[in-house]
Parts: sequence; structure tokens; C-alpha cells
Amino acid sequence: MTGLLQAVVVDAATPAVLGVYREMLGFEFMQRALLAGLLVGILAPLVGSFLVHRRMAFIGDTLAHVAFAGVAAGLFARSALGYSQEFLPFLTALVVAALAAVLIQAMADYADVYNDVSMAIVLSGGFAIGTVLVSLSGGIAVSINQYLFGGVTRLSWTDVYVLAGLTVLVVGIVVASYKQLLYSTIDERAARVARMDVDRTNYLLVVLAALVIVGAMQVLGVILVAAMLVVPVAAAGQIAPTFRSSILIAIVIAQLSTVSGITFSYTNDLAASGSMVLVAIGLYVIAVIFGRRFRIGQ
Amino acid sequence: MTVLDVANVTFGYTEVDVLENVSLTLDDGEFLGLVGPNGSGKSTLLSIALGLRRPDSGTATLFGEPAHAFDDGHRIGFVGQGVASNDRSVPITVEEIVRLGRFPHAGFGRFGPADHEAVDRAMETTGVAELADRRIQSLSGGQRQRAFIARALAGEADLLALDEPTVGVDAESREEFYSLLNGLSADGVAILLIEHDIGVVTEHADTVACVNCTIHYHGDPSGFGADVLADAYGTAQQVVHHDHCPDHA
Repeated sequence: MTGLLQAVVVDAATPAVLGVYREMLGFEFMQRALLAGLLVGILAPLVGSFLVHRRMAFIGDTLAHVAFAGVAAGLFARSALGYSQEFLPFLTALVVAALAAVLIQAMADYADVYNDVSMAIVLSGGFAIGTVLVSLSGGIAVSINQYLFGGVTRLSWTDVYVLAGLTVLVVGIVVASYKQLLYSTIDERAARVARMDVDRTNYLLVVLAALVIVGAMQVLGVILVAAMLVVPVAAAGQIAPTFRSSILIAIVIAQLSTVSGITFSYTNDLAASGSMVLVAIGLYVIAVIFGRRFRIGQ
Repeated sequence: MTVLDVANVTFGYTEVDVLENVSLTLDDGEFLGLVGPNGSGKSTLLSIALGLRRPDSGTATLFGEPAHAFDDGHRIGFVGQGVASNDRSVPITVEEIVRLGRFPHAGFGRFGPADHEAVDRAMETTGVAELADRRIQSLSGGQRQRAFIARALAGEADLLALDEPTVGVDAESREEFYSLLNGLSADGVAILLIEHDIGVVTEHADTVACVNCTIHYHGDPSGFGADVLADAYGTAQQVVHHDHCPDHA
């Protein structure tokens, strides 16, 4: 049976799959796309693991929509005011998203809880500012599309290098702050009693989330970027035996989602960001069924 | 030695005071049960005593230092409300929970042999060693609670503060839990326990304090009677001394 399966599936499929990858990797833009996908697949679930288990999954969406205002401001400045820096929209998005993250955390500290109403107001307010800025300068609709829906095939090598730098930075910070992040995620009050610096850690986490959102936005788009912070983490939570392994499993699931999503979109001429997120959701469903079937964690 | 000293503390979240001129002390090896009706300020008092909030007036000290400035986090073990309930799906094991207790010791560095030994010892003491690799939400309320106690012990805390930790725990596990606390107290650990079950507190604690905005009683459990209850709770109440039955005071 195994031999037959190997003959039918592996032997037949492997050369075909390898052929697709050989062809894909022949194009530089696809090399960049896959590299960017792999980097986002590390960044998003790494930070998402701490957000999801604090019940802050929604903050990714909020920051993405606010970052859109930053992108629009950058594009507006570039087109209307005559600045020519290619990175202006990226930088403005980074600054605006980081400021919004700090604002959201300050509101949460003030109210003692992450308030979904204020989060929704920040989300729609950010997006509204973005659309107004876009309408103020009629000629930037095409580049806005890339930010809204992702443009993994339109990335430059510089974009990929920036994403790689961001990945090294975020991974370094998470590794260095792992104990603080974990303790305040699991039991914030006990972490405060243990004199861990919970306030600093909370601000650090939301700013990391803003960095990741803006970094991944060019790959996945404003509307779908938050999915990569949430879905692989939710899937890993179903099957992971430990917290540490849940982070690694979430990263593996995200890698499978980005690489197979990009490949699928290439072979079938479909939207890459949508394909990546659909694969991730498919893997989540499989993880739920698998987790229940084998009663993992029971 | 005085572990915790709250003196003439007044505090309010708004203009209305939640606590008025409250004083309380806790010594080495003392087991203090803190009781009071819902909304009486018990948890607020605990927050002030542990330095998480600062009083509007009065002082709170921990091990002789102002509580809010005390930074030797590993000397305090804390088990909060709801640790026994199963409302979260975080993929974390018993051992990972217990290891958290060593984080203030380890700082930014890696765990050393002393950290691993303390974690193992804490799990042995609380009887969760055989559950080390189990995910926390797969355990019963009583087992989960023991895992969180183990976290406090792993830090080798001198003060154990517990805020209604027995909610959602079956009666048998509760008995084991109080035996565990009595054992720790005999070993010199100071224990401050907030508990809604007055009968259990008067049975196990060395001293009882009853708070409802002000301190209505502070002393030996034997002197804690119906008059104090009527005074603090406002209605006709009685202490139910019980074995293995639901708790109501």
C-alpha cells in the first residue's frame, strides 16, 4: 500500500512540484516573493503567539488599518509635495502604526482592559484618514491597491532586505524579553507581584506588533495581514504540547501557508495574499480536527 | 520578623473610600485569613499590601521596605483569582507554569541547575510532578491550583499571597490544599489568604482578619463569632463549619 502510494503520489508529484519550483525560482521577482513570505512566516506568528494568548488578536487588524493612514500620508507627501523617496510610505506607516500601538496600550492601561469599542474607533478612524488622504490626491490609487491587497510579486530586493533586517531585530528582542513576555502573557497580576516590568513589556509587545504589521503589510496587504498573526498561532494552540513548541509549530504552519500560498497563486494565477491566508485557515481546520482526534493537551 | 505591615491605610478608586484607616500585620510563618463580603475591599487591600497600588494615606511595607518600592519579586509568591477555572486555551504545561516562578531569579539569563532543582522540588512538594508535561487546561481545578502554588514555591517565596484560589475546586482538593498551606506555614512561610469560605479559614488559619471598608476583626479565629459577622456583613450570618460540603457563610 505504501509502495503504491509512493508510486502514485510522490513519484508522480515530486518531479512536477520540483519543476514548478525550478520554474518559479527562475524569476527574480518570485525569489523575492518566496523570501519575503518566509520572513513574514517567522515574524507574524512569533509576535502573534503573545498577542493571541492575551486575547489581543484584534490589535493586528487595528494597527494594519491605522498603518494604512500612514501609507496614504506617505504616498500623499510623495505625490503632492514632490518628495521622491521610495521608502516614505513605509516609514510613515511604521511611525503612525507605532504611535497608534502606544495610544491603544495607554487607553488599555487607563481603562484596565483592552476595550473593543475604542479599538474599533481607532481602526476605522485610521482607515478613514487613509481614504481621505487618498481622495485628496487622485493619482495614487494603483499603489494603494498594493498596500490594501498585498503585492508580493512587486517587492524590490531592498524591500526584502528591510524585511530581513526587521526579522533579525524582532527575533532578537523576543528572545531577549522571552521571560517577561511569557510571564505577563500567562498571568499579568502575578508577573507584577514578581516585579517583572509588565508595563514596559506591554508597550514593547504592541510596538513589536506594529513593526510586524507594517513589515508584513507589503506582502499580505492591510486587509489580510492580521490573519498571519492569528491563524497559525490558533492552529498551533490546538496541537502544541508546550508554549515554546507552540511558537515553533505556528512558525512552521505560517511557512507552509506562505510558501504553498505563493506557489498556488503562481500556478493558478490567483491573489497571493488570499491564497496564503486560505491555506493557513485550512491548516487551522486540520489542526482542530487532529487536536480533537488525538485529544492533545487532554 | 514582620513580613507585611499595612498601617492606617485609606484608599478609594473614586471619592468614596473602599478602605478606611485599615491596619494589618503578618509575621514569619503566620497564616492569616482575610475575609469579608463581596466588594468589601479585600483584593484592593491585598494589592496595596503587595505594592501594586499606593494608598491615598497610610503606609504599606514589605519586609521592612515601602511596598511599592520593594523589588525582590522572588520573595513573594502570588496565586490569583480564577487560576482554577478553565477559561483559557493557552498551550502551556504544568512545568512551564512552575518555571515562571523562577523567572525573577534567572533574570535575562538561562536557567541554571539551582533553578531546575527548585522547579522539581516545588512540583514534588505540591504533588504535581507526575503532571509536569500535561497542558494546564487538561487538569482538574484542584490540580491546576496546586500547579500555581508550585509556581510560588519554585521562587522560594517567603510570603505567599492567595486571592480566593479555591473557587472552582472540589471539596477534597480543598482539604489537601489547606493541609499544604498549613505545612508551608509550619516551615516558616508567611501566608495571606483571601477566602470567601469563613468556616474553612477559621479552621486552618492562625489569625483571621475581617474587612469591610474598615477592619471589623483581627485576631485569633476562636474569637471570630456571630457578632463580628453581623457587624461586617450587615445581616444575620453564621459560620458553617463543614467537612466536604459546599461553602456558604
